[in-house]
Amino acid sequence: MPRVSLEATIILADDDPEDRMLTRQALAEGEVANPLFEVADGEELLDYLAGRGRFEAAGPAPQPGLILLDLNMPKKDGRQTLLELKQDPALRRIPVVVLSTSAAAADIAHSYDLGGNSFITKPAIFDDFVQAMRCLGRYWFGIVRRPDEVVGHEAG
Amino acid sequence: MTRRRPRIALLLGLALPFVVVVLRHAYEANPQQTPFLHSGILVIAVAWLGGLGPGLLATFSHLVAVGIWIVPPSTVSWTGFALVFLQGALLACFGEARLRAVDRWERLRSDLEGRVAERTAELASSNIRLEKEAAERERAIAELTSAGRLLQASNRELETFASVASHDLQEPLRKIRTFSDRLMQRHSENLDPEGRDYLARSANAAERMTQLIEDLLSYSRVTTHGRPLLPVDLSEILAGVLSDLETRIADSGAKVHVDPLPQIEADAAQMRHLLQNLIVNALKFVAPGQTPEVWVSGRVEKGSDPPLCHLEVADHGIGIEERHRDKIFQMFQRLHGREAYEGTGIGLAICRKIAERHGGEIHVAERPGGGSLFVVNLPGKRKPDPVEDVSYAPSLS
Repeated sequence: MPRVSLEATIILADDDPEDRMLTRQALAEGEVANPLFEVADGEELLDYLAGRGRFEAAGPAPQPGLILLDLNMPKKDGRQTLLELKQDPALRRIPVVVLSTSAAAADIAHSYDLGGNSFITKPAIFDDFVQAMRCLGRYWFGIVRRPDEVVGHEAG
Repeated sequence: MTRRRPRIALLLGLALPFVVVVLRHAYEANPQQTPFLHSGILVIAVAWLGGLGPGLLATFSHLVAVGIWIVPPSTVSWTGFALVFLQGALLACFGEARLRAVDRWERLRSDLEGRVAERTAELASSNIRLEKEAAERERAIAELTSAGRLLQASNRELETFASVASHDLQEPLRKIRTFSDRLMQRHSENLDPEGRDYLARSANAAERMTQLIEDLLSYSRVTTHGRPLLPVDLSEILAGVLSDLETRIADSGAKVHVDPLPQIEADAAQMRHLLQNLIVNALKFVAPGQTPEVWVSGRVEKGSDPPLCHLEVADHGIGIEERHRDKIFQMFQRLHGREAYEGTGIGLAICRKIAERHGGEIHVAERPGGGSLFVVNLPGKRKPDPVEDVSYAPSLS
């Protein structure tokens, strides 16, 4: 039985409330019990991580275990957000899984080019989605060693 | 005027010696004057050759006659007469010949001048015509170019529209499918059989619409996502298609007969799409209870330049009535109800678009012995058209 880390936060960045709801439910049904924090676009995600804007009072967020990133969002879309995340020495280690409805070759290639760690095309069948989230949870919180577990290695 | 001059000259030339003789006999004069007579005639000849007209010649003749008047008649001999006559005749002949030459020359010149003028006029008018034509052609070319550009732009716009619309249409559709799926899974026990049937039907319709959008997208991608035409082995591609369709072929018990296919320059992915659509159709459109049978063959026509590749996919299915044979290659044209044969009616439209993108064509004929025979003609080699940039185009999800 793999060791399952339940402390690490998952951040979900998606502008569509229904999609957020479905992802939340799929994660729950897939028994990924990690705390989930939801933001509606890339700008909010970066603000949250840096403790800017409406998250100023809270200060910089603790490093999350995983980011689930939608590609098409208003204000700052997933591509630009991914680019900025992977260019920031303090944030580039956070695993980013692109979670999109797109199956376009260009989107997939571009996401990996930018340093995305995985690309998942959201299945239309909910059961498949639950399966995908279950595997995702097992993999990122059971199998791999994530950067947020490593203490004492300053970013940069 | 010029036409009459030789005759007058002849008359004068002939008459002159007689005048001289008559005068000599009529008046006795000094015989020492004979050289003067000769020099007088010479003067007339030179004057004639020099281009003097008959009036002046007559004057000279008169002067000569006056000179002879004073020559004594005793010196006149028959030899002298003959000499004078000969001189006169020669003079007349020369004059005649010269005038004829002048005449002909003038005629030629005026003729030539006329022709030159005619040709000049013709040239001028044809010049004007050519200029007009050139201007017209230029205008037509400009019109065509701008129309072509407009068409290209509107085509591109349409394709972008189709692709964007398809992506945007997919989004709510995906939710319909997901939520009806959720409803079915988690709440179906709360529904009565009728409710479950309605739910199944709406899920089914959403599924069909997804397929429709998928097909529409792949139709628009034939041109927007086309790849350069490279040498491809159609036999290899066919093997891939048949392995994809393995279960389907096994389930239906279909027999697929395959001949070796040639190598051509083509977009491999599109060739795969083309063969797949044609074979799926051949498997699909059979009478209920009938086992599908498909024949795939191809050859390159050696004699033609560029070499022409014929691809044939034949079946012994239900066939297509002659009046429908053009229609089936149009978008959304279906000949059968959904209950009989499923499908979106885009597959063959995609096949035609692929054939056309390769500079070829597709048509259907009746297979001898029943069924349909789909024929795809593709040019073997051809300059690939500029492929639009496909490196990265964000799509909407």
